[in-house]
Amino acid sequence: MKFSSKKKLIVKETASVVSLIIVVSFLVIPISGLILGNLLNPVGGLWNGLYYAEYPEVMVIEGSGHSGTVYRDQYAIPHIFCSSSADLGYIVGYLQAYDRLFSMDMQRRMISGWMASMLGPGSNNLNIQNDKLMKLFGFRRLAEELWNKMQVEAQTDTEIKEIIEVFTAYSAGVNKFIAECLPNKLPLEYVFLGLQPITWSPIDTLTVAKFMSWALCFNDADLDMTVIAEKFGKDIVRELVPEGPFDFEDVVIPNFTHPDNITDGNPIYSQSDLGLKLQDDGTDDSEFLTNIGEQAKMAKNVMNKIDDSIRDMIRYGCSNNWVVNGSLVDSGYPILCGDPHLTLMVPSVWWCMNYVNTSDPNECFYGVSFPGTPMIQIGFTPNVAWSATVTAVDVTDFYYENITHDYTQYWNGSQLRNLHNVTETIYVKGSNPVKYTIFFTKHDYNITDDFWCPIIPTDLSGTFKDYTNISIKSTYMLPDSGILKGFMNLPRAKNVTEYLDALRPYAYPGQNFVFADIQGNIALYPRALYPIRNVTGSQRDSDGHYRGRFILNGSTGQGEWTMYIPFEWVPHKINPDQKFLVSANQRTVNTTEYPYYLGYGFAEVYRANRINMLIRDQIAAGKNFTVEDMKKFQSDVYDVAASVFIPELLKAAEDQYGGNTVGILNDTLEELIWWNSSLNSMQYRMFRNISAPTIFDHWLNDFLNATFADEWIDKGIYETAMFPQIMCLQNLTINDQESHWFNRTDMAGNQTANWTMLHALNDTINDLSSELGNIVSEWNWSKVHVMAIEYLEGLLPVFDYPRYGCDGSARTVNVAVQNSKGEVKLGPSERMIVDFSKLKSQDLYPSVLTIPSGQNGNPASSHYSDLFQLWKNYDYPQALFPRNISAYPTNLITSRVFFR
Amino acid sequence: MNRETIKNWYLNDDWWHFTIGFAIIYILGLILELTGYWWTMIIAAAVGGVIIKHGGKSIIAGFFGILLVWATYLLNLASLGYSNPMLFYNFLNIIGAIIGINGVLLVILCLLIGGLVGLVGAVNAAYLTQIIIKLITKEEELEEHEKAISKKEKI
Repeated sequence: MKFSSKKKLIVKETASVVSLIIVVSFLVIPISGLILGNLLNPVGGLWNGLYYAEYPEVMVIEGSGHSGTVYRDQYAIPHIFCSSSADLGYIVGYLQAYDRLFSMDMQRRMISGWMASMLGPGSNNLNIQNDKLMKLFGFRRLAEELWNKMQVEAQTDTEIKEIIEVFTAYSAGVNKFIAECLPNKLPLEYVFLGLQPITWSPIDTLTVAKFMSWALCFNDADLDMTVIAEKFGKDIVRELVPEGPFDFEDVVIPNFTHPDNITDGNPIYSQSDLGLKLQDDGTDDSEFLTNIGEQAKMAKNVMNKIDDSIRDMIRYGCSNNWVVNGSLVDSGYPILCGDPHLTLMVPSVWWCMNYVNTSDPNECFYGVSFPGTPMIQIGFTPNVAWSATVTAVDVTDFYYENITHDYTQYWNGSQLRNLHNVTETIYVKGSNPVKYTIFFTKHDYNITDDFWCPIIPTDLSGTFKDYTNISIKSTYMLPDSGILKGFMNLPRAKNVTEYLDALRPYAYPGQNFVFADIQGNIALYPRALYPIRNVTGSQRDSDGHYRGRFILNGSTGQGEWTMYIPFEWVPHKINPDQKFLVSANQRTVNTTEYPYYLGYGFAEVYRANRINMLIRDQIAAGKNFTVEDMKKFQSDVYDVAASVFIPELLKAAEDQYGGNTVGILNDTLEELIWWNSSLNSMQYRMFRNISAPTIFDHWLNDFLNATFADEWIDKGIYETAMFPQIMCLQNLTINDQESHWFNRTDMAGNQTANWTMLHALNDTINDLSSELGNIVSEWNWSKVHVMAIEYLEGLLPVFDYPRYGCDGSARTVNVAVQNSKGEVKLGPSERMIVDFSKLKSQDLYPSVLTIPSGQNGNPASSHYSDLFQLWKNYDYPQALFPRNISAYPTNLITSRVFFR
Repeated sequence: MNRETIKNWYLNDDWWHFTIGFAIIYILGLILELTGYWWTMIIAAAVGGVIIKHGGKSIIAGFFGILLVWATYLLNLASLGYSNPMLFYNFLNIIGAIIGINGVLLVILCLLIGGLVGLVGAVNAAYLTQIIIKLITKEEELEEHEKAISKKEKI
């Protein structure tokens, strides 16, 4: 070859080096957070998304020490055939990780308070603040305590021993998958965010259980009640949030009269004296209440900092379930339905599975589990089916603490006790770790409550130094493994007696478990631990209020929990005369029929009213129920609140205007008159393609606001305390037209319900016309009621499902709850209908069941949204339920996995 | 191997050098890519560049060598479709949407970037090799070698 001169070569080499530097820089410097070199690399780059999108026809997982066979069906739902619960745990761990590792890992990091370590401090230190809240509620801390306690219990308790084996095997299954991913086959999301998975442990599973328990049973309404009581007086609380039901409320357990009553399906109780006195105890703590108003407000403001997505689930999370007796079905066997309402996100909060025990043909189930846990929470077996809704009873209390000036001790009755403290470290990516000390008190009057209650700080942002004098006590904090026993034994129950036995140890979160068995029994048990606050010999304070509705005085010890209502005394029903049972998070029992305090923060009754209405109407028409009827019920969007308020509003408009309206007001009223007509098949239906739902929903909020905002603003609690419920507004509108709440504090004269309704209508028209234009017929509900199913609630927006306008409202059976931005992110997270005649005849498809995403969380998968497409159209896949491996139709096997 | 053979080997840049250099880039690239680090492609291309030495030829070998390495891995991934033959195509569309370009263009972009990495790796090594040869070889030997080449060209 011919060599250039040295000079020329040096010039050429210099140019080459410069180009090398340019190319390398281009590939290593992040562009919009993405490092192109890592992303485009064919090994370990974004192409990794291809690995777990679909399923190989045959997979063999060896060396696990667990054996079993898995067939995936056309929806990628796994049907697991193995011979022990530990094998099942391992297989579920591996399969869940295959489908959902990233979402499991992210949820675990979020609820453990590890987000800042992954994502940095966030804008305004938001990630640090969220981590502090998670540490305050202490899911991981409580999980560790529970795990340690279980190790001791396992020495004498075989059930706990089995649960430990299952959880250990489950973790090993997840970790097997993680090991297979490393280092270059990590799921796509990890590549995008430049993260590595963290191995799974049984404590992670318990952390998920603690978090879900908190999310489903925590309620900070006591703080709202205290704030309202301090500003308006305690009697006002009684007026706005009455102790007993309004006359239009259908309760969960109807016709409950007395524990001795054995008619109408109430169980037989062994009557014993609980030593409960139900009268006023004469102690006056009104002064105490006025002193803690500001503290309550501060504590409430901290609670308001819980991330919106979680907060919405706590506040509006709700569900439906119902069952009808076989005498109302042609086949003579019950039909059971359930649709739990949780955050709608992709991948779904649920993961479907079917298990067949190859050595015991009676042990098989089909259902849904929370990824991160090996057990199903809702489902059916050859013998029984069950579904759950939140009970919304009062299992969370807030205590005022009298703490010494040096912040080391607190008063509990006559005792001065030492404060307990834990210093948590929050690791922050790209910054120094933040230390966060949490102080605790203990309220263990009842010796089973031997756990620490965290004190709420005054502030979470930046570096706070101060704490309120308010601590939190909630049943989810109990180091109690009853929840695990409950979900382990529910699928093993064969009849209603074993169902009750399975629920007996279950302590939290409170759930209305609806149930049916193949013998034709139906039952509903609102299972929770219901605390009784009875130190002074009464459940009530000097003003006659149940203790538990306001912040309790922890320093005097008067509000301590003395015991829990015994299992047999909790209102429940087995085979009621009415032949059906319904729960939709509404009030548990009519308080005039039941002497013990259960709570007050129940959901609006409208969904429960509608389900009861649908079932009663059909019974009255003499028509039996079918699965198709139940599908229609689950997709029903009739708004009972509209049926109450729209006639009132139109009456007020008629009185005021006498039909002499013009322009947009006239068009609006015309639309509502059309919607109000009983001849209209769309009457009171919240359909997306009409305008009346838009007007009604907006107006209802405006009406609530016009009624209460003036008083709330006057008292300086507008940003802090919740408004009363729509049920309260209904009661005032119908029964108390002249109520002082309608009278505006910021206006002269006397305003009534009619005036307020029309004033609100005016606000609504102004808002909607500026937002959607002046043509009322174009105000379709779909324009403002938009289903927004996001990938892990917005973590990777490019993976979100397309948005679409949807039917329903927060009050319809087919629920669709809007957040403050108008997006629908809460709805039926699963829909299930079980036909017991098909269970009896051993049909291969005894049920229909769907979730609002696919099984697989990988956006490249054909199972990323297949079940969602059905869910969206109120369609249901048949749940394939083989009872042994040879019953599985081979033409429906899309993938086989062998564990050896 | 005597000294003359070695001298001939490193003073020449004929098509054998290109072919062997290209093969080394491809094979070494396949092996090093298994580490999951994209920058190892610079090493693979550089080894080839040392053998090829010629600037233009090393550019071609580096570019297409690594491009082929990446194309091989992408083809392997595309065959992972299992029961869904459209998997790779669907995947490209989704990923393309994320980066904001057409999915097919994404593959082309990926291959071009792989090629570019190989190109700069190989060309740097080629010129560096030439400089080193110049530095370690006696002036007379180089002159003799170049004269021999000129003779060959005249013939």
